[in-house]
Amino acid sequence: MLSKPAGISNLFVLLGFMEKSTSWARGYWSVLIALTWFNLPLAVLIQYPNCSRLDREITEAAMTLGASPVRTFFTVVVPILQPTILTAFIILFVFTMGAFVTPTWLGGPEQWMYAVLIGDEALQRANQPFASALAMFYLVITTILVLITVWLGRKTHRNLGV
Amino acid sequence: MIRFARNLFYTAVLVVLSAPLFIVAGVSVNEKKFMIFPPRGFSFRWFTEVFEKTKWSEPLTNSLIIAFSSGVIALTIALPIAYFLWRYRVTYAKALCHRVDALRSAAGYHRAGHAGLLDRASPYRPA
Repeated sequence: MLSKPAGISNLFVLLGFMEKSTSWARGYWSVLIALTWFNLPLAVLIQYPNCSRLDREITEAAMTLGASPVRTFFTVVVPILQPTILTAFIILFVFTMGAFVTPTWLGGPEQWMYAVLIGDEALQRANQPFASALAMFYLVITTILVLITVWLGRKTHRNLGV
Repeated sequence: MIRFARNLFYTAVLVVLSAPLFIVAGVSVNEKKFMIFPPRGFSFRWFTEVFEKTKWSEPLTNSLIIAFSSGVIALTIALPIAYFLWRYRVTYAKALCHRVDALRSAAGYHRAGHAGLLDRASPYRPA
């Protein structure tokens, strides 16, 4: 979809937005866009059950007190859903940290992500112990980051007093 | 007895889920350059190599930046969508919610749900 022969840039040329069709594959942004696109349905699915269990009276009360829908969303709904958002973020973060196929296909050597490095080390160079050591190192880093996120989330949640 | 069986089951699930981790951890302390489990010999030389060859620094920063930003972007798009589905009672979202409710009751939440402890405010509770 981001490539030159069959990409959306051809569509933009057809509509007159661009002079020539170019390739957007292979690059930082294409990896980012593709992974976001993968994460999007997952994010909706994780958050939907908790959204559907919101108490309608709370938002109604906020509206009755004169808050606009947008303001209700940001000052009432988001703080209530803060743990949900954090959980969803951690799940997406860990999923994306382990992404292998997308960065392999869409990223050049400069956009290699860690999982691709491990795969290269284990499959191309046949150095499995080194790859395993890399993986353990990565696991430790990811776990530390997730724990920090959980800790920060607990702290802000307590401060919000929800 | 039931508690014992349950704990046994949980332990079994945990062991099965973390089995690949143990294999990888075991392989990483191999002495020679082979994929052998249980490891032959014991050495931390692969770990010292990890800290000597720092070619992982760029992929690591790439991973961190991309994971963080794609997570944030996906969430900022997804939260309004999920909220909108609830707020404006989109019809096809009800099917999704029934599916979720069915999953939850399959997972053993049904008693709490029927006692009104859960989904008190759910507008989609199956009649």
